[in-house]
Amino acid sequence: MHIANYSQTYKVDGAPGFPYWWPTNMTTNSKCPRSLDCPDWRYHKEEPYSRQIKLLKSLSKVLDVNKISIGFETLGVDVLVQHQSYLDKALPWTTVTNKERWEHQIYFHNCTKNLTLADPLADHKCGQPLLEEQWGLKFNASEIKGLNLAVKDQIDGAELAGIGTFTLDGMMW
Amino acid sequence: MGSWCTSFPTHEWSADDFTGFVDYFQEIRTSAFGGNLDGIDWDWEGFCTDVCLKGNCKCGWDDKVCGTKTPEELKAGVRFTNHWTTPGNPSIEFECYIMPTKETVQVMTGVSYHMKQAGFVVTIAPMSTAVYTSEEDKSTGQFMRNEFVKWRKHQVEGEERDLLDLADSILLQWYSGFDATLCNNSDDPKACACDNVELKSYPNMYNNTADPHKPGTFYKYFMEDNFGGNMYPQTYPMRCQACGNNTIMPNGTRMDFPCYRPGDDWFMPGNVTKYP
Repeated sequence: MHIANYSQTYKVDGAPGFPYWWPTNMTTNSKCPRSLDCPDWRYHKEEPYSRQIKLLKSLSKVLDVNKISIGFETLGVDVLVQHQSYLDKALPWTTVTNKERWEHQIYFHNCTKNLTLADPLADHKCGQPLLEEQWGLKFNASEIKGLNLAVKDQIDGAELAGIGTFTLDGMMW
Repeated sequence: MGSWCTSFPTHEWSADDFTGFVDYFQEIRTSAFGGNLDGIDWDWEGFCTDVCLKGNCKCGWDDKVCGTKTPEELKAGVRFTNHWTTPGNPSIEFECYIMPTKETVQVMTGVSYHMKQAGFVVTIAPMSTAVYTSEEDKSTGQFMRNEFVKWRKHQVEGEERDLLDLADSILLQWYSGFDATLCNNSDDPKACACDNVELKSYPNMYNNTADPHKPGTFYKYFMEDNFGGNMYPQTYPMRCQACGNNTIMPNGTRMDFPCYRPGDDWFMPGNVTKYP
């Protein structure tokens, strides 16, 4: 009932629109990249890598910066999977069966059927399960190179030890 | 050396414990891994007690309850009950995550020293909240975490040893999804201000309705009121930006910043027949 009301309320070109929903009372905390402990590459009106250098310069007083590597999440954030809802249209689930999950370790099927404006309350919908799971600064080779040069220039000739990534399948295939 | 699904020590180890660890490592290195282990990697972040892990309650974090507790108080076990707002759902008891204590880092330092003495490699992969500054924590209850820096020095074999000196390499996890209440406890208004230069393909606030003619494909699995499901919000704060009451904004000020556009928070977890 709610989902149909929502679709009727938020119309597209005068016709029922796609339903969106947020659980009552749910809030969200801050994640990386966060200025204090996991800063991003660039901030408005500041030199590139400014807050990363500030953090590393501070740490250089207690440890050797040459031993530090930076960790990134590099997930397959663009992967589209199939969801299907049943009695409750606001609860879409994976279309994978228990047999597929337990015997073949398959957790999602590729998405082949999404909602359309012709039927915005249909059962099948596409989703990107990893999009929300990747926190931190965006992995970027030229920025890593830039940060390394900034470290060398601003922290007594030090060089970072390298990078670490989780996982490989989002960045190499 | 994992943590979230197991536990780590919060009491100091003796010299015998350290040698016992190295002996055990050498034994399983040979018997189970064919001599192919180079050493260990510390990934100790947080845990809650065995009882909670076995299902009598759940691990959790509440900024007001857990974020205002000292490391010693967290170690002793801090419980809180979430009284759900949805009709028909039971209250659930949680235990705050226990973060590394001074004693935990004593164990890490001693083990690292003895592992190095035995010729093995030692690395650390700290959560971003555990290694981020050399500045002293001046908060009244040591709320600013930074545990591996704060407690890095310990007496081992009659001399002061420094965990961060002993480690061969340290990978900073600049990808934490958890702020350990640093944002609320920091004096710096910019500490968690999300004023970074956003990339078009990597926004702080994801817009799921960018094309009104195509349904957004972003979703998040939620657990609210002891009930899980998939939500499809119009917009979602993906990274540094938080949402809710008393939220830090990009200019460093605080304000109530609703997580959803008006009308989107209609979903009430529960039984579809009772609450359609």
